Amino acid sequence: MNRRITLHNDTYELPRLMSFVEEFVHDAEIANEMVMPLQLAIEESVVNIMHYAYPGQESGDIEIGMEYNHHSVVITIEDYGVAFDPGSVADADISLPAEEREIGGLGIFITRQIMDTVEYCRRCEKNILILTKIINK
Amino acid sequence: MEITIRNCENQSIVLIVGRLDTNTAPELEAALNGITAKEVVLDCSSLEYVSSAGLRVILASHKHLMAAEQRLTLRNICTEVRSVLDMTGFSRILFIE
Repeated sequence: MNRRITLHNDTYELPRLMSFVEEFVHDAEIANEMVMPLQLAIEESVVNIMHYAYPGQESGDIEIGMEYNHHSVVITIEDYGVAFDPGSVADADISLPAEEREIGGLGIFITRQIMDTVEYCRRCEKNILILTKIINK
Repeated sequence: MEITIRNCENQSIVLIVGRLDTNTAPELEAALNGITAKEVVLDCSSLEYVSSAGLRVILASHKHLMAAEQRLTLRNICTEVRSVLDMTGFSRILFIE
């Protein structure tokens, strides 16, 4: 099963994206418990793009594909914005006490925790992020 | 998301209903900023989802309240939200009942 959605780079699109993920999991007959983790990994990745890929008030699109092959869910997130490799960001140190924890920097960490692989490439002026989650039915 | 605040003596109980995400986290931040009670309880019994934007608000509030000798406690957390707190280490640094 394979579906795609195109969003504008504005967080008002998030409810539509969350519904897209929920419907995909339901229609692919994947366990319902996967809805929240997949929504979370996608929200974190897409919001980063919405906030940083298109500087200033520049408008841009984000294309998201979800594919299920009875073994894994593969999520492809593409944008035409500024080159950014999430792999270049160091993991948040979650062992620190509250006083020393940074207020931000958790989004990419959460995505890495949920997904089995997070891959990035830059091709034809596009950022391409590929998130894979193995599904154990 | 909907937020309801109930005040009694030195405690404010903040009931969060729905999803705490990029779009709704600022509403919680605004609600928490106005509270002066000694103890603030986040009633999470109807909280279905939390993303890093929500966690940022909770951590900032926790730090702010601790500095003012107040206290933030999270109560009645569902399994899904708990798993996010666990994976980010927040379970260890927040007061959870």
